[in-house]
Amino acid sequence: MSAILECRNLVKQYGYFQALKGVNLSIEKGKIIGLLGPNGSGKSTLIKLANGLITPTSGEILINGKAPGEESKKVISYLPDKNYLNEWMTVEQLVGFFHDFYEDFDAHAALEMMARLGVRTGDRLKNLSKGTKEKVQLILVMSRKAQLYLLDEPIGGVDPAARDYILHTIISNYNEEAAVVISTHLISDVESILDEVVFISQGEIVLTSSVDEIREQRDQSVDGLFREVFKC
Amino acid sequence: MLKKLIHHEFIATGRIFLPLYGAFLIMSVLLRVYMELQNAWSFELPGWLGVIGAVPIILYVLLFIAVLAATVVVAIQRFYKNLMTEEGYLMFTLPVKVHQLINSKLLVAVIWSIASGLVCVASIFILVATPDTFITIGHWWKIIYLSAADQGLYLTGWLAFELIVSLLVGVVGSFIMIYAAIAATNFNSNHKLLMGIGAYVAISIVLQTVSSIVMTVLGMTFSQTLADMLLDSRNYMGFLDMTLWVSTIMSIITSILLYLGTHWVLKHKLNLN
Repeated sequence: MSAILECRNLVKQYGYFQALKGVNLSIEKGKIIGLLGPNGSGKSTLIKLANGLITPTSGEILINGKAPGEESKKVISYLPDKNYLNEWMTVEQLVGFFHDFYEDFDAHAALEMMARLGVRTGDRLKNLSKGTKEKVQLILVMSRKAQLYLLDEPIGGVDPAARDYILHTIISNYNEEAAVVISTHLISDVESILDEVVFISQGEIVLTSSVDEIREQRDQSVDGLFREVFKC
Repeated sequence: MLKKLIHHEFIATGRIFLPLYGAFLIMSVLLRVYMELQNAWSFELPGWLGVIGAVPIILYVLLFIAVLAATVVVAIQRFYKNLMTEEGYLMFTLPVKVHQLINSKLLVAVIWSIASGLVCVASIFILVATPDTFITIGHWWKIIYLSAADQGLYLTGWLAFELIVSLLVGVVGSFIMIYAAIAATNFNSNHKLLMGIGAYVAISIVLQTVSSIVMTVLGMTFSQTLADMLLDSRNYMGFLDMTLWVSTIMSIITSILLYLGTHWVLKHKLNLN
């Protein structure tokens, strides 16, 4: 199967700091992949490059074989690791906004999930708690039928109960035609839903493996392996 | 997609402009009523209370300034905050073309500028209009028109058209220049504000220099024709025509270049923090 996301010798330099040091990576459809690494390892940089929000210093990153552009934005559903929505908009207006611009957005499903998590759709975003804002963002992102979901720290700020619901949402919303990339360092929480893991450290990929392989061949949990690889 | 972007841009900016226009026009009416009452009763507040009497005028002037300043401030804020900060994560991941993002912001900013101008005219009208205002304006217009014609200047519809075109080109150009400076902030992620201001100053200096050089060269090349126009045939209309078009065309060319630069940076050199 052809790769939905591919990196070739991808380098990103910020001034003197090299955030990515020649990454080669290929991600295929139909899998949930954990992009795992400590803070500052280059996870967000990689995801931002895939979205075209920053430009590579050298090398290339391809979505469906093409550099990020209008076409790739139609098929990528991206959850940034910050509050990126207009604070003055109500949840309802935001649903309308997504509906206007993304053909694959299911407004009905989004509103249903909002109701399920007790988000009042008439509220302005700025009046919501940090955790609720994150829920709103994630629901909007997961209500698209995209080919590639790039979720940057999707569960960082929400309570464990909401965490379970969100992970459940991710699994039930994704399909065989899509790939989900979850970047996080909260491994034990996401471990159960991952098919593959990519360990990234100081801008380099140090390990790619399927979760089954780790469990069977190394007789370890992903969390355990992570702690071993990234031991301080 | 451009239509949708424009629609949302209007929603985002209208929530600032519409209340501001409303407050300004209401203040104009209040000030008019206040002035009428002052005339009718010819009262004057004694001593330091006179200061209070100035409050409506001060409020009016502040709102006047606010309406004009808002067109620029909101344009900067919408381009910078909505595209270059966290909100840019949303805007630049929408399946739209970069030029559509720029055009939607530009078009809406220009429309609000025109609206602000009209609101200011309306406000002045509210302040001073009397039943025979139009007659007075017509009277003065006649005097100005005749004395200008006396000097060989004809205030025709064509001239009005030329002035409007050059004004519009100027307004569009000044927004594009602001956008270009904001786009330049992508080149330095640590000192964005400094980079933006620096870029704006640099662009201004380059434009000033280039336009003075071009004007000087043109003036020297066609010095004989110009002298003929102004001194011999006293063809002021021709001269005015020519200067207006030369400056308008130059402004169009620089605006196109700055637009292309902005587009290139946002498409190929984007670096959101």
